[in-house]
Amino acid sequence: MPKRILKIIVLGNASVGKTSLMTQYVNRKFSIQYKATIGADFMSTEAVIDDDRITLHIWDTAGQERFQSLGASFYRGADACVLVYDITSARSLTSLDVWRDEFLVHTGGKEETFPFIVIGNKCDKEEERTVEKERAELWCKSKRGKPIEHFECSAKTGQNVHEAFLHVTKLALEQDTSDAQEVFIPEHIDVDHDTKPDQGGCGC
Amino acid sequence: MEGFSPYYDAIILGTGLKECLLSGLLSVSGYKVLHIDKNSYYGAESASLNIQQLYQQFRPGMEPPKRFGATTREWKQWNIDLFPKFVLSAGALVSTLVHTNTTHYLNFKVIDGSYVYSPAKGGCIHRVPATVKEAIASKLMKFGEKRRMASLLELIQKECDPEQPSTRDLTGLTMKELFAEFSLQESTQDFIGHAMGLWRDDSYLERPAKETCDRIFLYARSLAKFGSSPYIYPEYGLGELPQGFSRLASVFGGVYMIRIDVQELLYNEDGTFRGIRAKNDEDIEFEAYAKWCIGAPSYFPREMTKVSHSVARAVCILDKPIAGSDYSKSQKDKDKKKNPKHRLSSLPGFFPSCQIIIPQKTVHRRHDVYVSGMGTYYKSCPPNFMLGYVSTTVETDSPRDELKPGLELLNKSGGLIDSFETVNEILVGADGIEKKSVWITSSYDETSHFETSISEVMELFEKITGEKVDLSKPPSDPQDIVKLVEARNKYLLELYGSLEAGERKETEEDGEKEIKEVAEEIDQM
Repeated sequence: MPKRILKIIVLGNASVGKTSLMTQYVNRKFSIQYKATIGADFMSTEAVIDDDRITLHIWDTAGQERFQSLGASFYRGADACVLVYDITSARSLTSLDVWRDEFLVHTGGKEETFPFIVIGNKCDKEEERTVEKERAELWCKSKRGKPIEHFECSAKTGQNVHEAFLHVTKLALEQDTSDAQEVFIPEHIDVDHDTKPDQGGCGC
Repeated sequence: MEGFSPYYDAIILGTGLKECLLSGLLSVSGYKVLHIDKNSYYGAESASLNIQQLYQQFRPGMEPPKRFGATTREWKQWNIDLFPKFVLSAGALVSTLVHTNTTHYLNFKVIDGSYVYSPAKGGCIHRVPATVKEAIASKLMKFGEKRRMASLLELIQKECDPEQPSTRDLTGLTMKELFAEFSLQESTQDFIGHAMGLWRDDSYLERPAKETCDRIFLYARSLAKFGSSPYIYPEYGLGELPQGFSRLASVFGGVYMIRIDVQELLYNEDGTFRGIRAKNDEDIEFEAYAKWCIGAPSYFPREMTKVSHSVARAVCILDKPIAGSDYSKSQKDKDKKKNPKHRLSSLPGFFPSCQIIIPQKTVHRRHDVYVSGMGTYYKSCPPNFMLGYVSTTVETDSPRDELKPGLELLNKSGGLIDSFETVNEILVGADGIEKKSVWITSSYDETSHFETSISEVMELFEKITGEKVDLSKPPSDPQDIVKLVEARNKYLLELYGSLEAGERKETEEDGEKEIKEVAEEIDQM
């Protein structure tokens, strides 16, 4: 049985619009004013795929990417990764190599099969474009395994944002069933509450 | 550096647990923090290392043996603490985690058992009873003694519970006197004071009984929380704790930079802290300024610290469970109801975890020896292995020998494959450095838990800010704090911008006032 909570990580250079994409997807909102991320942790939302309700926890970098200072624990248990660049910044596309490598090192995920997607954000700024769609698609094909799916989105208008997140959720679910754990590892405890674990639940 | 603002309330050096917790608490309170580490990873001395990093540190130039793993992915299955500690489930660290919502970033699991060593019958370990019921059932004492101990526990339950009216003043007598009142034997006293009160030596006997009773109450309350043992432990090792608090600080606007070489601490003419000059891994130099500097001892010149005492520790790799350790009764009862495939006690390669206290007198010492073990259930190591830890306060000139009772206990089942030993000086800040607006956190001590670390952080927070940490308040919402962070940024810019004009004092007072207003506004929301 696929697990019902998926952890999705959004990575990419500072100011490519990671927090805006998440906010657009979860709250359908956009703020024109750019602020380095403060106050964003992870967002929780639901997606319906093939009649199944899936809870998504979408994790922001909390600004720790600005000086390449994300710790190992941020990546733990990630089921999928959204790599974001800005179509008006060529450097943000080339940086994706660094982000993808760092992600794979920390999670120990297999590069051929781990669910990644690439989002080229700010496609509403066509006149400032410096990254041609073909160039980004070439990057996506240059990796081992199946080509990475590429979406050009706008966190501002909402264009393609929903489709991109839905796609990465599907990829994560497929991965989840094919790589199912062989041994059952008992649940961790809930330190927020005072209940003894052996008092509640049916124990199955 | 693009997007780097050089002005802060506090510059924090080193990302150990204490520094990260301070950074988290300061950020949640609306202070602007720059947090720096020289390493490429978080955690400093409280990081959890993989097996390759462990070899790098202890046996440079040597690769780990193939059976411990041959690829980076396999090496990363190990998460080895250099400072073995557990989390008391009703203790101050848990309250702090819950208060700040940092529990979102961590997964905790219960330790299977808490034991005390007894030299009788060639040396074996016994589960520590902490409740009246358990004391009666324990094989550790004779019946009459059990009843006397149970009455003492009953008194403690009643008197130390803040929700029950106190009927007796336990501050007016020493613990020795209280023990005498219940006519408890010396071995029972040792057991209560060391295995439940978690005192490391016997000085507690002459101190007010209330102190020990409160500690026993904390132990019993922790045990009651999740069964099995009073201890919990985070998956992937203790290094997850500082990372959790660093994320908390980031969410509340703290700035994090790792791989930074701090080249110089800068001071004002009056000797107070002004800032730092540092270099990043791309050789770009920068300066940053703040009112306060807080850091781990290794970031400061030797003369700013002093040695308190020394601690000997051993990290051990085992391939058999520790002799005498087992899953708790509650775990086994739970397992009975389960499908065999899902039973914790029958999972292949999973060994029960434990904490064992070797009371000082049983091995002719003045300080206890602490032993612990944990395995793959906590993602500490691959299946069929176990990590064992031994630590104690150094008393002699041959500290490594002082670890022997612990190492022998770990090897009683013949499973001890290798051990990595260290002797560390516990450094604390030298007297008077706070006059420079500099605070140095002390090195991690040999206690089995984080209570001393947390109280040190809480005291530091109060000394630095003049405010107390209020854990009874609900956790702040990061969205509310954005306004406060912005006000703080504006104020810091003004404060430092006006330094040369000699108007610092005026701006400081005005700024503080303005920020208080914003904070009050947020409180009222």
